[in-house]
Amino acid sequence: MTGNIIIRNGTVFDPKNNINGDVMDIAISNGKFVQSVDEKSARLIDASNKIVMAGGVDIHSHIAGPKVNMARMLQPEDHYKNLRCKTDIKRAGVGTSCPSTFVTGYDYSEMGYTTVFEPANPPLKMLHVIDELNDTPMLDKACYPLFGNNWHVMEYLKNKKYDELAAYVAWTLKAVKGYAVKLVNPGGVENWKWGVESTLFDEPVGRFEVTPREILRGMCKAVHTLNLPHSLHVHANLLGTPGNYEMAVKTLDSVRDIYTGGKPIIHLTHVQFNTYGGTNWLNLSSGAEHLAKYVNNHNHASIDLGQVVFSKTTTMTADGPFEYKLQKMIGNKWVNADIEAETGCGIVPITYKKSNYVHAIMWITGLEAALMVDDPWKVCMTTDHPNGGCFTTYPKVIAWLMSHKARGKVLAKINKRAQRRSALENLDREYSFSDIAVVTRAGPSRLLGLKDKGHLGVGADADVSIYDIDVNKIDPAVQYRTVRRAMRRASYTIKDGEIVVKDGQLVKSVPGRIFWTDSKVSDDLAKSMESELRSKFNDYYTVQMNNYIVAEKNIVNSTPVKVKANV
Amino acid sequence: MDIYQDVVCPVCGCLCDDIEVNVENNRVSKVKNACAMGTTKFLNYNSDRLHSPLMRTNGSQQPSSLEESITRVAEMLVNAKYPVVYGLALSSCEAVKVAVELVEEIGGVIDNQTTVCHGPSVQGFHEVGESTASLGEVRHRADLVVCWGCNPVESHPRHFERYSYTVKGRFRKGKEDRKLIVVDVRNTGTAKIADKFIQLEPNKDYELVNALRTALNHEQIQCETVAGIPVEEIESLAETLRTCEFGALFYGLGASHTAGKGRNIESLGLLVRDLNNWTKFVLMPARGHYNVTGVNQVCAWQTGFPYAVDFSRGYPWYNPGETTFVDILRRKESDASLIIGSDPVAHFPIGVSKYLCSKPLAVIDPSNSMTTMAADIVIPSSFAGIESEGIAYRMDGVTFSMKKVVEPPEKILSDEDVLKLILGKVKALKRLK
Amino acid sequence: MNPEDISFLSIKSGDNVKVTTRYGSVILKSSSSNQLNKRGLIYIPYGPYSNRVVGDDSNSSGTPTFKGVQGSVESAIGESVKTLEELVADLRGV
Repeated sequence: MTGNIIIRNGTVFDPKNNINGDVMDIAISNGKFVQSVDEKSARLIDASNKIVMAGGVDIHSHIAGPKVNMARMLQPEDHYKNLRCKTDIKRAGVGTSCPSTFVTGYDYSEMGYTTVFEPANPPLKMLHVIDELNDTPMLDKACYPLFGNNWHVMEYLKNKKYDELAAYVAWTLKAVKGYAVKLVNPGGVENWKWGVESTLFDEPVGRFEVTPREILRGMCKAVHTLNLPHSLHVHANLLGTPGNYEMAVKTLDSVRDIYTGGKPIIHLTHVQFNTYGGTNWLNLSSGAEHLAKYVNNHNHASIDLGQVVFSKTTTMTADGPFEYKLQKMIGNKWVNADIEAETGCGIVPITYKKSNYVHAIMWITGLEAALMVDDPWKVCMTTDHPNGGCFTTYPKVIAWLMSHKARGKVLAKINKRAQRRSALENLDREYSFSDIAVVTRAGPSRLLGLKDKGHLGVGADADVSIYDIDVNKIDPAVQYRTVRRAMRRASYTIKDGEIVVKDGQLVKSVPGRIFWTDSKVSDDLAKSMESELRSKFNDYYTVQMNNYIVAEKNIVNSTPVKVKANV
Repeated sequence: MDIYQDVVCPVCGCLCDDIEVNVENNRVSKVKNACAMGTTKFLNYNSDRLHSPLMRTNGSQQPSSLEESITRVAEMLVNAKYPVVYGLALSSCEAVKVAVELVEEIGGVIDNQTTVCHGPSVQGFHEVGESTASLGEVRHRADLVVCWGCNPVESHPRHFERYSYTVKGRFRKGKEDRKLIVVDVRNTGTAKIADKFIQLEPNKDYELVNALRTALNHEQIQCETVAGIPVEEIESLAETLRTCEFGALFYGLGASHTAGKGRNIESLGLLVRDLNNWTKFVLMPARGHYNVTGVNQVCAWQTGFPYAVDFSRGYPWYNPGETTFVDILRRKESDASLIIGSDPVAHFPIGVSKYLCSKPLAVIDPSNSMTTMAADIVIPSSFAGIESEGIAYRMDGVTFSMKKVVEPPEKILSDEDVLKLILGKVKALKRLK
Repeated sequence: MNPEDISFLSIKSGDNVKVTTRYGSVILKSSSSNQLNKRGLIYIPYGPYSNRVVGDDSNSSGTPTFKGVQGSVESAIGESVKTLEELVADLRGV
């Protein structure tokens, strides 16, 4: 983290600071952006005719943890297609849809990404998640503990003990070193543990007497009370079900009254999987229009896409019942792993095919959502890696967002019936480079509360990506292939002021840091909650409470984000 | 005197974490809550331990220095064409990470005890996946527990009282509202306390599981007995499995070591998958060896593969039967081995352990064993989970940060630290080369 | 060993026996157990003695077939069980 760098003459896209394609210099010193540096002491990067953006920020990507590792162990065949040798700089590795940890870090970095957050983790196994993140180089990382099927959460809500709930959430985040609060199919996974496949929004969860709606609202308020840097992050009920756009809208609307202005209070993740119309798989359609209308008319919600890319990949999620239903439909090998008192997970490999009606509708749905939501600050580009596709396909998705022509090429090849049902042909909106900078850098950073990421302003972390795209010569709407290739391998990636990638190849390996949130509640409340928790801990878990806690010494470059709660 | 609470036991795959250990003058004086195996380990780990590095000169083992033995191990590995590093189930995950890096550096093979234990279980998993759960789920919900080819009463003594059968759960009182079925070839300690004991013929697990699937799916079994079990009993067992509220099937080496191997486990995986059409059912291998699960996890996330990883081409390669240690020895392909916390000279069939002894053999281990007796270079190490900290995994993947309750003897390092020294020396030798 | 098998061999529990399979043979101390409730089935704890009578062919699975190996048992009174040191010397060929 030393040294001065001047990035000279780049075409800069920094939407947070209202820079939209200006040709200008960027100065870096000691790992941060600065106003200027002495040229004589600086390493000079000639970014003439190249695009300069902040390093990519991924708000939702399954890269580490027990279910990711089970997916690796499940599919040696996934690895044989991508074998990476050890080099002087790189460790060996493998992987196509479930890369090994070193490869994950290297590939993201070579694509210009510098921050990736792992979005769904059981607190009980968080030490595993963190240890895998320790082995994922090049990136700043964090993880989101799961709360939506947590017994303590449901009991606090049932007993209307909202302050204690907030204290419990704060305690858990600090204990297991999590960053944000994640809900996956709230209530639905607990029901699934007795074999119940579907859960209704307003029906009490078996033996716990709270509804998914109550869990959503209660946790949204808790997050608000704790002043967490990121809003409640939600994978809605009824994922992967025809007609579920209604559930998506209902989910967002269920917390509308809690909003008092400012940043969004709920982030609906991988909306593509939750935004279908129709009533069955034969008449499945895109429901993106309805979701987009809601998001356009309300400011309390943000989304990320979960875009499908036609390829062989792996679905993996804490939504165990969804994966059960998927494997019943497509018959692939299947993993289900329930975790006591907290959550569960499921894994099913899948191949998305253009010729398949359902897959084609899924592909259409994600893009329609991206094109119909007007404000790019409300949208993050993701594929819910690897559920929709591997993160290395992001440049493909970017090309689709930027080029009606690129979309058309794929549209022409997909299932004809799906093609006819699509509004995509008539959606001629094309994202600009500034829009892309928003949905892949500035927007996610803002939503995550990472004030030093996602932009190139003075004082921010010097994470940069430089792409070999001359905006004077390249029209992304037409030459989308050039854009796609260029964004797959960055000309330069800079991490904390160090050049780590040059000409698309790693030149230096760095460990990155791990963020987690420490929200301080009042001492009395924390003490009484913790004492009550300790008294019943062994009734819930098969581990001792002291052993549930992840020690900072087990984290490489532990970076707590401290906030003060309102309780 | 120091009293350590919430200590995690480093013996079987249960990793019971409620152990209390009293330490006086750097000696464990009392152990609470542990089973006989755990208590014995904490009280007696010092017996028959190695105190000095050893090197074989002119046929007999002589004391040596740490520095010399590290150098000789590094030389052995660097000069070998196809070295194998094997073991690690008694090591911390931190040690495993160093071992993977070491093997990458020397272009050899890294394998662990899974290869002669639950390797077939991994192979069954590759084929069909698994419906499983953490042990607490079994504790809270299971009204039916099946032990197939495993004997927890002897191999995991506190399993039933902490996780699965006699334990009280949120939705279960304990033994009174649970049923225990044992499938085994002999009348084990677990079979003796079971509600039902199905005694099958040896090497007929594959047939029996598939007969069960047949019955479960309402198809006709086309004979009168399968694996020595009458068809009526198989059909009755299928009904019992189908009609429980939450079933848990634990399986052990009785399923993975017998003819059929990975296909046995694949079949069990499919049986449990089928059962989920009617009820809630989970499957779990009863991993026996302390941190063997952790070794699989670290190997899988770093290399993509859980064991038998071959780096000789520069990239990780995995092919059971080709890259597994026993098969490499059988084909007489390895020309040097570094064993860590394991005793393959005792645990491998005679044919291959003979070959293992015939090539340069180095061992890192706290205690004397047949492998240390046969080795050319021996480096003593400390006991992970007693004398050194580190991360370890329970059989269901729950992770623990193990405690250090006593200091190791002077000059005895953890295997993590020994491996780091070897890795450093290997890198230096390669630079010279 | 099954108690009836022990008496069939005209030995007492604790006498030495010789176990032979197609892979080799080993002298072991017999022990009567009601765990072996069927005749014709013996149990040897996994370790260096059992490994003298199992094969190393894993059928491409990596794992030898440690169980269900067919063989024969006979009385071996007067023959001794090898010590671990002797087993190691055997394996090293010294």
